[in-house]
Amino acid sequence: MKNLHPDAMLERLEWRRDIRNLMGRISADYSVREEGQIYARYWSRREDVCLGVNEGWYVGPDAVADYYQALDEEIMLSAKCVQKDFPEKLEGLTDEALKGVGVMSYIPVDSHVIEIADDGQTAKGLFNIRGSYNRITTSGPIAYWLFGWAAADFILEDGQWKIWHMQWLRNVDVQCGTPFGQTPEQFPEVEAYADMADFRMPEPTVKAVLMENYYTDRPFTKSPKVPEPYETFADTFSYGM
Amino acid sequence: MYKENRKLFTDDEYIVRMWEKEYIQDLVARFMYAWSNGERREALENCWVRKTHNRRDASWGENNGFYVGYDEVVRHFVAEYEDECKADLKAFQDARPEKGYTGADLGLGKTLLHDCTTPLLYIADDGQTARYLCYDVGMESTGKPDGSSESFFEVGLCFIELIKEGDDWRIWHLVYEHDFSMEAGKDYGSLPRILSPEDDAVFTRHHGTPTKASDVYNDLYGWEYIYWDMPAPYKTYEEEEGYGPRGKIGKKYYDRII
Repeated sequence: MKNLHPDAMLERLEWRRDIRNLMGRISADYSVREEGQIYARYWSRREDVCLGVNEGWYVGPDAVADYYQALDEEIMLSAKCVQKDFPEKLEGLTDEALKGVGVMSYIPVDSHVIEIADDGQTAKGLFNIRGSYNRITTSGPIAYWLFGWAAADFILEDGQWKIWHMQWLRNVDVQCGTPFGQTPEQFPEVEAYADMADFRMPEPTVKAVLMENYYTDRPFTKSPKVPEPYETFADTFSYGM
Repeated sequence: MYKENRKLFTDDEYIVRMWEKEYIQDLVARFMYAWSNGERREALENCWVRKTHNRRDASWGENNGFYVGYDEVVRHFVAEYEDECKADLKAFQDARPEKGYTGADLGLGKTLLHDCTTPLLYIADDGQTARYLCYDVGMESTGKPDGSSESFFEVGLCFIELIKEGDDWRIWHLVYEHDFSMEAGKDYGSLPRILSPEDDAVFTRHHGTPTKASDVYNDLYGWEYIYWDMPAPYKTYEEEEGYGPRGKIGKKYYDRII
């Protein structure tokens, strides 16, 4: 444990709270279907930001912003499909009123390990993701269990902590009602949800397998590295590409 | 009574104690990541007590008793897990030799998550020990050579007693009160509410054979004990109040009456 002057400890306690609040806000934004705001609200404006997901890296501000924007578009498209399925309840609603209908996302983050650099300019955090969500598919709403990790490098900008690099990894992402790692039950397609066939997330800037979703003979897969104390960012590893 | 006699701290002392609480929360999370990552030996070496006299007294509690002493904790937490992983890997190698599992790392087909949510934490007034409680709401899945898996939502409570060694906090006593293993992919409404011997074998599969067997926690009717064992403000470590094998944790109410 580092020996610091109490004034320095107090500042770092505030910073650690700020970082936990930032991750808590992201979790809350997923709950209220505000994923489309995550880049604008929490990410650094640096050119070298990047987001890693299982399928690869979104590199640079445009790619990261587009990723979250696509989540927003999926939410809106999903709601319109649900509207088609339940016209008696949802017909005539504005887009604003309709947004978020039929979808839920509960993505709590916990078990934090946070290290702030001795120079106070950057920080690193690792968090468990342990949640559940549903997705509107061409077969209608389907629910999933999700276990994974969020690992981020944070940077202090104008007195506020922002995300610089982040890995958002799905370890077990499984349809509810399915033993982990096994083929889920397939449901018949439903006409009202046919438009979901056209939705695609943008391709990662750099395709790479950062993590494979669990399967029954997958090699043992660990979380991203746990942060260790460090002096300055050059002395530690990066959660970026 | 405790409130009236509670020690008052200076501002600086309060800040240091807040800092130490943050450090302890991170330490427990580090332990949980190492546990989930199969780095169990490292988890003990990095997060648990190192001084000889503390290691002699270190303990790990399961529902069915205590593993007492660091070597016994290693036997249960590390060796038994490694044996299980070796058996799982051998099953793959024997059943599917064409798949080239030879040389695969331990843990093939396995994934697990342990975490520490909703922590409750008090540092003793004397600053030498701390008591911590969290929920471990996780999961475990073990793949089988036939392509199936045994996967469970795993829920338990972790009572942890920490002790300061020099400037560092270390885990000294841990009691994992295992509430349930709920099989994933099943209709939960049809799962048994009273465990059959077969179901119980699933539930107890990681409990092992403790050094000192005792009924530490019975998930069917043990709830009333949690309140009394929860961390609360305290002045200094007393063995009978602690989370070690000679403490009250898990004891029936009639065994707690002195």
